[in-house]
Amino acid sequence: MDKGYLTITNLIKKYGDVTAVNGVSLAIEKGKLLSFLGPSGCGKTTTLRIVAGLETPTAGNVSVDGNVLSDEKHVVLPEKRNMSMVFQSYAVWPHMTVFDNVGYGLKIKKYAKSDIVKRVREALELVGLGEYEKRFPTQLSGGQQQRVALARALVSEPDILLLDEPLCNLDAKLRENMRFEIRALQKRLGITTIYVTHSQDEALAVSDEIVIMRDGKILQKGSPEEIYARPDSSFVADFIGVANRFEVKIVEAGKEKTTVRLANGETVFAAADGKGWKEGEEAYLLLRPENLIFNQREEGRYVNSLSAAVENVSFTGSIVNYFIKPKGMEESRCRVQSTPPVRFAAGDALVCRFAETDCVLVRE
Amino acid sequence: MKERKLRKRIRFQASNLLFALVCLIIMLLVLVPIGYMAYESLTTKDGTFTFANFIKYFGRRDILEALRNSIVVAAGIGVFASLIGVALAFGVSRTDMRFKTLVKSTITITIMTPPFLLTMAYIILAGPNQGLVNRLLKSVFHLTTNYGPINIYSVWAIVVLGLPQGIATIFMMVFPALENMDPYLEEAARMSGANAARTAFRVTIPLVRPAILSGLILSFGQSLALYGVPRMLNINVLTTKIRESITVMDLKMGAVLSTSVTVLSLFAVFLYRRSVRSSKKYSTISAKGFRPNIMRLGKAKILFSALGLVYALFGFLVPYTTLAVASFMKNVGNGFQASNFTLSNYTMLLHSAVAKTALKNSFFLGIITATAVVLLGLLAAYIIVRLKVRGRGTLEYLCNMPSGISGTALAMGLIFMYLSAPLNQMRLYGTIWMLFIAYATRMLPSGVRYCQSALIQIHTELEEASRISGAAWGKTLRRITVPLAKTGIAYAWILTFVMAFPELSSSVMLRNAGTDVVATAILDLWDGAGGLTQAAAFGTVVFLFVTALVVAAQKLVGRSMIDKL
Repeated sequence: MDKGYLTITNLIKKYGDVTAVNGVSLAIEKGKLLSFLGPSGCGKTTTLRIVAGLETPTAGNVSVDGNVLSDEKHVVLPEKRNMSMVFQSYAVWPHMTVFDNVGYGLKIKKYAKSDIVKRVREALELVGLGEYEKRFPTQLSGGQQQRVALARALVSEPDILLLDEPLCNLDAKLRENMRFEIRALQKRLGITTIYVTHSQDEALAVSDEIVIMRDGKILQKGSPEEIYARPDSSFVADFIGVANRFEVKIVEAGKEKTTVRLANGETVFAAADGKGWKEGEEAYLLLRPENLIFNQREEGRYVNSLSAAVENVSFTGSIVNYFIKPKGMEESRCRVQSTPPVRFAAGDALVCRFAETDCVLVRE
Repeated sequence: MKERKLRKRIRFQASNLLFALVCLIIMLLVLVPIGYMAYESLTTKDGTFTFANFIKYFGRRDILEALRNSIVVAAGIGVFASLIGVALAFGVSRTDMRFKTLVKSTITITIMTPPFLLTMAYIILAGPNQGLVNRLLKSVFHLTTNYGPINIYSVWAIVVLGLPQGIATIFMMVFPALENMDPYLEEAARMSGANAARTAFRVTIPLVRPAILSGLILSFGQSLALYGVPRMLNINVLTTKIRESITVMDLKMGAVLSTSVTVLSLFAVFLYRRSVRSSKKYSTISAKGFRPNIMRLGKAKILFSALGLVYALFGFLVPYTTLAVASFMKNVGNGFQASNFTLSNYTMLLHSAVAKTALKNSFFLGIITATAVVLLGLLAAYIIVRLKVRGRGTLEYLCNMPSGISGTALAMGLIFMYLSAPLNQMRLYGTIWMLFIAYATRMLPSGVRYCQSALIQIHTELEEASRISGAAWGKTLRRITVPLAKTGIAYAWILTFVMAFPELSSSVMLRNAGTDVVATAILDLWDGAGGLTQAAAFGTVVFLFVTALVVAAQKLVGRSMIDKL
């Protein structure tokens, strides 16, 4: 296991019979942003809350800079960790002004008054709320409350920043803007950050590294590009973006490429991936829609091809989706995409071509 | 690092210590008195174990009659109140019946005012000799009997006079359940072809069945604990017999009866808890801000409206108007002649030393009880709602227990507890502090409940955000939780005060010369020198004061007591 600033080792959390977190281990380097991505109930928020000290692990431990903060016997209390957290509900205190909200932690830590004023103003400036310090949270919009929560988290210069679905209560437009702002801020300040989200777009946009979780376990960990291009399983591929999936049989596992056969008898070549495929083994071939180049006739530079008929067309603005039925595999549906204008109609025949390097083979 | 660890451990113990302290106080208030009375009932005079006491007293005819009356009253009120209470709750929540506000006001008033005021009013109206209705009937029909024709001094009269409170109890359980029900469940039934009535009977009512059951059990226990009504109607039930055991100085009898009535009603509380727990499976009932469907009743509208009006008339308008009118009369027996009206009942009250002492004591007790109960309730509620301590379920159970113990039985337990060694050294018996202890115990369940709902409204993340900002547990409670729950806490305080102020059934057991309270003073006036009219005047004052406070509390939180969460 690689050495990190924050490390989580074999973390387990049980609530009665339910295991919320089931053996999570990972490490985060100082100054990086790591996101936990997964469907609801996958254990991402529970893991975050254990890191914050709000929950006691059933087994395993959490340590920062070599000091164990949580294990099954001892938990350093949340107020003693020098971490900050932005909650899903923002948790901005309605009975305090924006200034008092942001300055609360500093006051508790007995900073000098002038110092508090200076730092709070800086933090509010940072999130673009400089003029709002005298307002009460009820007078602010959702997005502004979210910024107050962020300023409150940043003002105390924490060792670690924890973000629990910080954007999920905002509308789509604001959500998109805020994710870039959060990323820019985090990079500028260099705070080690854990970001919990169920939105793949958010995770891809903000992260240095993404951890995909399901049923309390880590399925895959890697940079956004890695996870997107080389998913380990159909689940990961499907959770991040759209993936077409075909059942295949391994024909030959060569040094440079793996040869597989589709259900319709066609052969596909995939670049070797070091997963130790054996002849005759069953597998799944995953293909991203944008990696399928399609035309009326067989043309283009790739060796792999797939003949199909268009079944449905769906126009969504910047992208046209074609749902196609590959020839000889009537039961499988496949999706390809192009930019407008719409070039095919239902019933049209087309040929898709794709590169060996875009073929991903997985066992499940 | 080492120092950090040590401090952590101390903090950890601080919250445990608090938990232990709260549990200890609550056990001292709730369990120990029950233990004393049970011990007393199961031992001979020299302390050896025996069942002989039970055999002896339950062999007595008058006690068997009291037991039978108690059960008739509790079961009667439970059954009739369920029928009417559910109909009213459904009517107010789901139909276009009239008088909705009037019904809600009656429910609130009935919950907050002691039933003995109602009884006074009905004795003034329907007492066999002097009752206004009886006099009217006699003159209309030229009857020559001295007695009747209506005789209010019967077991069934207790059932009737206990009904308004029972109905209110059921309503308070069922109405919120109906209001919080997802209307889509009903709409789905309608879309599947069920008509309105079928939907009501097959979907709506079954979904609130747990609430109905809880209400039924709660009102059963409450009716078992009734003291004021049977006492004024002069009918023997278990609670009045407990009181009698003190006047005849037969404390073993008090112990046996208190234990019996407590076991009976704790069994009801146990059933209630079971039904509440099983109601969790009806998780479709959620507290979202839906507007429930309003059903057009058509011809049945008159029926529901009439039921609502009769309830309001019978439980609120008629009795309290009677009380108010009687309070201005010289003598109820002289009826409505101009010469019979006077202000003297009120001026007498102003000059009465007893009334002054009683008011002073009730104010004092109300204030310290409300303060103590809200403080304790807040801590207990915090533990129950927020801390993940093992045993918090038991704590909640303990806090709810007094709702199943009649005031008379509890007082009996307190008498044993504070008259035996070692606590007799505190010399509390006969002082106002005995009343305080009894009041605090009796008000604990509702205090904890109000504080719980005040805390539940505060999102946990608001507290967690404070923890992460560096504020420890206690500081978070002080700086975040309490300020945010301020209104809820004030509401809890006022309602606790309102319930403590006219407390009767423990007071009547524990008062002494100089520790008279409002309720006992009214009862003494009623029985003795002052007569009905002065008692009516005092009762009217108490009623107006209590109502004003309830209205103020509702203004404060901006919603009525019934529409809570």
